Amino acid sequence: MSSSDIISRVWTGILKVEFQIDSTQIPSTNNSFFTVLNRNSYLHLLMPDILAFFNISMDDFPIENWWFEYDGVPLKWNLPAGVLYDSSHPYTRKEDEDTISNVWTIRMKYGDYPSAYVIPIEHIDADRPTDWLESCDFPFLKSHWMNQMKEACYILNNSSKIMMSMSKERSDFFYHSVVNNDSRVFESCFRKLLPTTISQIHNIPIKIHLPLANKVVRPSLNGVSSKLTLGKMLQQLIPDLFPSNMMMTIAVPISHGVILPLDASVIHLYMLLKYVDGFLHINVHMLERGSA
Amino acid sequence: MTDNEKRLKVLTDSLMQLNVSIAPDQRRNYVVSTLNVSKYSKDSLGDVSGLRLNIQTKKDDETNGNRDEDEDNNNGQDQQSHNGVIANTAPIKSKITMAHSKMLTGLSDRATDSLLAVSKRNSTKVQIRFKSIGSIGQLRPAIFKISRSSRFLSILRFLTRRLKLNNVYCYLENSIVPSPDDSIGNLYDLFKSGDSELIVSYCNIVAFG
Repeated sequence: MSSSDIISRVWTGILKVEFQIDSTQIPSTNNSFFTVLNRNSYLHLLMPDILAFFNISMDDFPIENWWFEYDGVPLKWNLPAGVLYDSSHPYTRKEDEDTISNVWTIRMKYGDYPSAYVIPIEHIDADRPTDWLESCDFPFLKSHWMNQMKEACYILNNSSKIMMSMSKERSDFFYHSVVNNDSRVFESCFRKLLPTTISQIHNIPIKIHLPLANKVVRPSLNGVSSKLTLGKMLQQLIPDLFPSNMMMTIAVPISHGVILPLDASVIHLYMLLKYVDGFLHINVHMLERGSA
Repeated sequence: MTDNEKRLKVLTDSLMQLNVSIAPDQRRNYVVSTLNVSKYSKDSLGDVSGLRLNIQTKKDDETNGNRDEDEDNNNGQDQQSHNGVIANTAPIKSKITMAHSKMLTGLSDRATDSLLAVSKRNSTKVQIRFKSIGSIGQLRPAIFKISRSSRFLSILRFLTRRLKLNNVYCYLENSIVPSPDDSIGNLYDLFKSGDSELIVSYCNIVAFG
């Protein structure tokens, strides 16, 4: 499989989702909205479809007060959907009921925002273009995404200059490649953030999500070489979970729903599997007894 | 106590310490009850993998919530920055699904120990230097310490209170806006300056688009 095949698979990865409205404040129905969600996108990008289905007006129920929950656990809107799915579904080799039905049931909640678990959504007064809803021009999401890209840009180049000097038109264009799930436009904009050669890359934007307590491990590499394998990096960062750089004995690294090979080069994994926010997200899952 | 009971006790205690609560399983209409793990009979522990750890979810949440608010109300400025140390006013809390807790009980002893070891809080402190941007006053002293496990939100809360502002905008390296849930330890490792301190620039208006 070529690099562009892998990138296109990353962008076409989908999740089957059922949305249910769960609130006493919403004059609702017991219907469920079944749809597909791109792994490489944000939950909020489906808001226009969801609210249209349930016939709810955003004027009466502002977007800032909505939040998502799976099995009683609030979902962090600031992470890409695929990362949320992978972290809330423990890896299992057994084909139990959960893996067969395979539909992710998300409850939409209004009010009583769980601020202790999820970053509250800031209400930003901005001039809204007339098509702001259809084009998902949500100021909180856009600014969060821009900030993540700026950070990724800094980590790659040791400077955020490229991202900071981008014109508003250009950054809107870039953001809409995320909204429209357009990998071609995204990749062409993203390429401009990269140094010309691998040896010029300062560090790699990676977030490793541990299975408990919301802990995230982020590597600060001293120089990047294509010889650095995922196994070596994990062994160095979290030796308790990855005592070997060749074999997975206690835990497995997962991204986009697949187990990543330990002998893969970290920089290549980054180039191919980075999410829409410019970061490679890796979910660490524990291996159950007897499945190692 | 049997070995299984001991193991479960350690696991439940550790989860409480880590501020991890287990959410009720809504899909299966699971009745959440307050179960004391040590009360499990030997028979019911026969199949550990099928056991669901039911920590008093709802109640636990409420008490945690109240505790947070107490911290907010009682922590005056002095307490918040006692001896130049910024208090962790936004402890990381998390919930895990029932399926997740089921997975935890299916781990080998070694895996459980490793998982708890990596999940531990790191209370080692790092140095922060505050720099004002624009017309806003410079904080004195400018140097504070904060634990690695604290989230960036603790810094935002500290500054808004200390500077008596509704909103404060913080930047690292005069450009980066960290997510409020990022841990200080990670930000320090990635963006610290040569003097082994993390420089946080702050402003009352948006300074860098």
